[in-house]
Amino acid sequence: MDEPREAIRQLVRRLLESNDDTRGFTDTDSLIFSGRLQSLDVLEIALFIESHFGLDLTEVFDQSRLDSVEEIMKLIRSAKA
Amino acid sequence: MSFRLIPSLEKSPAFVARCKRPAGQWALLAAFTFLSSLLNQQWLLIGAFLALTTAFPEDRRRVVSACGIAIAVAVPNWLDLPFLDRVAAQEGLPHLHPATIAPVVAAVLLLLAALAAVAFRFPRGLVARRPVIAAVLSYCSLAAVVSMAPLTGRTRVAAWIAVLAMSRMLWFFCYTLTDRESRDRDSVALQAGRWRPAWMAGSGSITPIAKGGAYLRRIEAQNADELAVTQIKGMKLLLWAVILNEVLFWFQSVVYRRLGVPEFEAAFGRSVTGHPFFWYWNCLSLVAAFFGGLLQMSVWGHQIVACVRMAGFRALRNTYRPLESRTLAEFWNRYYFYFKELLVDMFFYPTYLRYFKKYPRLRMAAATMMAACAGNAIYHFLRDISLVAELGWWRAIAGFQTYLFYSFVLGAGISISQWRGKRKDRRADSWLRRRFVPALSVAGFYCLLHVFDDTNRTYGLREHFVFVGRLLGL
Repeated sequence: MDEPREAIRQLVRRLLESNDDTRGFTDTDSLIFSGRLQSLDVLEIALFIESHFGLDLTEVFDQSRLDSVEEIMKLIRSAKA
Repeated sequence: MSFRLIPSLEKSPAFVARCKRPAGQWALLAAFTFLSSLLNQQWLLIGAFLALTTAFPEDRRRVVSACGIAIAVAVPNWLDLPFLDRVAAQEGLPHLHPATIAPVVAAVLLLLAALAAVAFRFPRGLVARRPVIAAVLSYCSLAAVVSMAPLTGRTRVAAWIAVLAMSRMLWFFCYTLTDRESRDRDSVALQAGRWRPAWMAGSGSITPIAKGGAYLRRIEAQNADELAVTQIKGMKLLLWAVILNEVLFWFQSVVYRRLGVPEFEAAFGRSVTGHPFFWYWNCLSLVAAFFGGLLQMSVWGHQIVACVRMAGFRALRNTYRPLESRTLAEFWNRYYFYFKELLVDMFFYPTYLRYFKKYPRLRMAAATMMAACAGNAIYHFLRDISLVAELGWWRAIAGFQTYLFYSFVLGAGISISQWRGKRKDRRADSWLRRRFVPALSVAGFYCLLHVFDDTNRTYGLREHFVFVGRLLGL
């Protein structure tokens, strides 16, 4: 099982639920530009990436790179590389 | 099925198919231009701009930029023209003609384009890595030089036109600077056309509605279906703005003329002169001003976002059901989305990602204060930079005390709200406790804080506190 991806999915699901959004989502669905996640949710995702993957996003942080599960995974891979 | 005043036409495949055809697109554009004429004096410009985006959908971004530059240079009503006329009169010059202003605006655009080109050439340079600090400090230095230098005649007028034009483009320009490292970023020429985008024709606001190039690239309609749905949504939003504008008209007629509730400025003025209205009139005038402000913001933002959508960009609304907000932070997200985005992008994220990493609560509070307090105050001070010319630096800064207090309370309130929100899981609560009470508390907080939402520099903090006392019958 792709554990990091599943962890990100769970986080996104929790954040959406906290916004009373119980609609499903796929890995490529837009989350920020569609208005489903807000700035503070983006921050939670950034925090999660920093704490769970030990990455520093200070110089690479860009809201548009966190718009979907797929893009978050890409950001994690590129930050690790 | 729930009732909808404006039906969800974008969900009808037959209607979307009709709007995809050229005849449907032009019919939609004609209807949009007609509705625009009910709200915006620049409706002809808006109509012409949208006609070009409709005629050349493949070159949409180029058309947006070309129209942005052309309108900014040729129709300078986005500047504070009465102020510029006063400066001209002080120098013994006649009323300023747009042709006098155009060359200065063009020069400002060229200067900013040159700066953006340097930032793109050296994306890891100190200035490019701290774009907001660099842009704000440079701008303040320029304003200081222009206000203090012994300039006279046409030179002084031209200098103030430049200062004003830059203040109106500053935050758009900051978005360009933050776009410097994007792999698919647009050229400087294309970016320059978004420093006064065509959809803001007729508005002097400095808030970047639809943000900058990076955002526009992400929200651009990618095919004919998306374009048709986006344009239908734009049309619906404009129709909603027209309806809300009527509601605002009737609200003001009933509240101020039929019921005789004093306008907030009048109630405040009476309080200052020592002849206040009864406390309940003061309360009613405050509540009416708060609700009127919500409606005005909705109408203003909806018509601009509607135009962005009509141009083919899936922009989110600027205002969306603000009275449903359950936290103080959520209110800004719903009330003035693009202003909140500006503060978050330029102040909140940079602070949060760089400082106090080992102290989570302090980290969040510092970032929130940086955005809601410092960023908010800087934004409004620079927006009203013309007051520096009219009052001088000292009086302009000293008179800003009320708004500084407002910003501080706002920042502190949002910080506390974020901290409390994290502690409470309200999912098991009843609707009343989960929805109604928090929404009422948030509206009450902002309604009361509205007393201090004053950037005019006419009255000090003391007069505003006295008015709060009057609200309580003191």
